[in-house]
Amino acid sequence: MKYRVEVPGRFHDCGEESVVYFDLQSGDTHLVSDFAAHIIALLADRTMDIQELVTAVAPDIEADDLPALTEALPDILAELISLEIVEQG
Amino acid sequence: MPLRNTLSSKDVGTLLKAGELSFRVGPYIYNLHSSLGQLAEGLSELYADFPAASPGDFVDYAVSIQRGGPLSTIRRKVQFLFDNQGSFAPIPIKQAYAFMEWGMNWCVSVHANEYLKLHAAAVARDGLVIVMPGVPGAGKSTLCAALGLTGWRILSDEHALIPPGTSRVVPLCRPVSLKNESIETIRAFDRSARFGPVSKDTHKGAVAHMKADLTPDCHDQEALPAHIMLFPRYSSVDRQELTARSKTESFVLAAYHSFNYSLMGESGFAAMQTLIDSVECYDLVYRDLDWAIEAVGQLHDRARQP
Repeated sequence: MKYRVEVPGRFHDCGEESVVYFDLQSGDTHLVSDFAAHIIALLADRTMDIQELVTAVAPDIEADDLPALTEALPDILAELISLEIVEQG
Repeated sequence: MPLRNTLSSKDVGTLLKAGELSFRVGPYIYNLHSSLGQLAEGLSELYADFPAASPGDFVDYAVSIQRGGPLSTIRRKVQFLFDNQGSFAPIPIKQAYAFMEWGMNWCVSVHANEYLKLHAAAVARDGLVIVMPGVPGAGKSTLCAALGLTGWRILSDEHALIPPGTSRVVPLCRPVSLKNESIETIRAFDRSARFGPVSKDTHKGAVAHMKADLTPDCHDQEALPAHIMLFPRYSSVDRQELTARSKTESFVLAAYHSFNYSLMGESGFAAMQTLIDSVECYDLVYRDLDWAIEAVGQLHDRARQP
């Protein structure tokens, strides 16, 4: 299964634990975690499957945190899909 | 500063009846037309110091409150007209003053999309603005009125107008709308506060408006920089406190409190970014006005330190 963000949106990052994301396609504004924002940015850059995403996020994540975040990835993707930010196909 | 031509020098009732009562509110010119005595009384009390429009000024908002014919006279109802078009169902004549004020707010709420519009009170001191968004009933108008009565300049009780790309607030000073217990709270807070007619049994309960142009510069039109965004909340039970809040969450909450953020699309997002980047964000829970005024004053003084 591949994932992508077809139209890259806009971020407002105040350096806090969450980030504001403006979806250019829907015009909706979302409050997302900084990790989810990172996933959105990666998928806006290129289409990836979960394994490719794990590989892509690994360099930016503390090694201790990686297993937990990898485990959380499917749920984060499911939520981003339900919000129509991420598309799968 | 040149002496202003204010409505106080004119017979407001006569002008109102003739449809020739035009005055400036911030960047806009309102023209009002009505034969109702209660409106003339309220306007004379609350708008006397507003700058009268000059002949030939473009009227942005033409508002009329009129009896709708014999049946509406029997039913004691009046109609609010905007540009001679009926926009709302007829309302009881005894609520006409409150309805006129709401209608004047409505004019800005549904138009004026050249600004990012927040549903917020805005007050200023030392040329710096505190923007106070809040849902109806949060206590922003009560706090705004009390701040105005203690020397703060009231820029608006209802709309914070932000030119996109700036963190400035365009003044739109009109009377402060107070509801139910807040009316007596403010009367008790300052016996010299001046009020218009009380409209009872509206869908929001009793409503009265307080004169808000209380400082010498209150009708200046220059936009002023915002430096604090404060989310006030009145509570009779919770602990009074002033706490810093997340800018990210404040962004989303301020967007929620905007009349036209979604309508503006990406430019609304960009406008909110500029604003949020320029302000410190706080929550204020209060029940005692004196305490709240002290807390807001200290916050303002701290935030303006370089």
